[in-house]
Amino acid sequence: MELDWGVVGRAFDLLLKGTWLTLILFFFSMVLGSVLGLILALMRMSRFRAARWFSLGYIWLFRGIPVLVILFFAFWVVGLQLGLTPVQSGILGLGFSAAAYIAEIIRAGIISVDPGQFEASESLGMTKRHYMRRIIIPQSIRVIIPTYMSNSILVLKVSSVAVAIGIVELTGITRQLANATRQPIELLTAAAGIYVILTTLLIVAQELLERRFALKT
Amino acid sequence: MKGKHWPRLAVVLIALALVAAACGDSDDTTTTAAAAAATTTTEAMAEVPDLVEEGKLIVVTTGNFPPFTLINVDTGDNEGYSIDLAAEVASRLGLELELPTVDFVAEMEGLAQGLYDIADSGIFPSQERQDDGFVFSRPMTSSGVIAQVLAENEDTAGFADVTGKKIGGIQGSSQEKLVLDGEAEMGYEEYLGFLGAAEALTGLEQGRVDLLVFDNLVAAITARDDDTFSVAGPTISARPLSFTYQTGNEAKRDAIDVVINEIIADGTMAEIQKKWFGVCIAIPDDINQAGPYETLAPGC
Repeated sequence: MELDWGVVGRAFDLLLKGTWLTLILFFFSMVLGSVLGLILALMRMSRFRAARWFSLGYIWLFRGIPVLVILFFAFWVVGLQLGLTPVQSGILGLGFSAAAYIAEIIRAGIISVDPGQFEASESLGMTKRHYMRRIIIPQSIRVIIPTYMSNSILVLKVSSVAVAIGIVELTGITRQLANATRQPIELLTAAAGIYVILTTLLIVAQELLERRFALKT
Repeated sequence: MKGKHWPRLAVVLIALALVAAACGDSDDTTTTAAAAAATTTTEAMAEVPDLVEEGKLIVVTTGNFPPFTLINVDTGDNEGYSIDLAAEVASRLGLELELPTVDFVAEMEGLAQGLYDIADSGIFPSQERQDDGFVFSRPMTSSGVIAQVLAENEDTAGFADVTGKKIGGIQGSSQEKLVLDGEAEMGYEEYLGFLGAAEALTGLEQGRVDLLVFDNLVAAITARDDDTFSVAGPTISARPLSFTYQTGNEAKRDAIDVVINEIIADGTMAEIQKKWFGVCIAIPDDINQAGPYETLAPGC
């Protein structure tokens, strides 16, 4: 079959519009996921048993359900009750799903800090709140960055699943235009290229963050 | 770190995320001033009861079912047979037309929740849908099911004989249901469901399937526009196509039916059909009329 790449140029503006919606989905679901993830990570290490169990239960449940199913739930059940738009439901679903993974990433970073650091802080008379903020978290960030950024790349790509609840993001507009023009291969290749550019930017951001938080010797 | 601030911060950020996301939605809806060309029917004007929003006609489509509704690759506009028809109706009623696009399941669900006046993307009236809480306008066109094949196979029997053939179709479509329900008597080798029309046609082109179970209007326009494809065999399972309303909106439906009758009678319907389907299509008299249909739009 013959390919006609001219269609990519004609569709460019619409693809960019879809890309913008993909970025909105990604950004806000990462903000939601990171805040919830941090809360869940701290709850998981709390001295209160109820908080630990809640966090464990949440992480167990949301890592166990496919993102597509979570999105359907966010749209057809939660979205319907709260009167949310499809995009709001999408952010909720993607964010709640991401939170479970981010919680474990943050917890892994915190427990990677040498226990001697906790003991030393306590023996200096620092409160838990104080030493977590000044001593532990800054050290754990170095460990968190690579896995956190890898997870971000996953969230960016999995946002394409949002097409199933009627969100016309990059994958959604690509499919609509593929049906309108009957040139799915050209348009899917263009969409793939845009996803690669976006993930490349995330990889560059990871590199910069790693340098920023590297040990100064 | 377990201070009181976190829950509050979380609430603020979630709220921020949801509010900001609402901005991203504004593009989903295209508001079009009703087309100026058509004449205004005074008797029907201001007579449409129960509109979702006063002065507006909200017609929801998928934007993803050419030639009924498709996104123009150059302009980004939603266009097609369903859109032209909706514009004609809105214009004659003096209503502003709003054209949201959602996927098909959300289209019917949103209609059932009273978000839209009319759903229209090639929907046919069925008893099942009437039981689900929908009512239908008078038929405006009709369609059936036909085999879309590669041009080199246009002399084959289509659905008259599919023994040993591989059939493709669109996942969740009514045409797919026809094939899956008839598996025993049809005797085909395998059925493969594709995500959409573009994927199904690519699958046919690559030889993954021998024929596609397609709407005959969609298949005919595809064959006209692309030499690779043709249609084969008889049209099966003919049925009317209508506007869909939420049950309880019969008065609104009846008021709009008056305008549809005029659009059919003065030949405008035939023009819209020719523009998008290349031919004039039979219009059944009522939604329960069995095919094949003889009634043709005036002007054909």
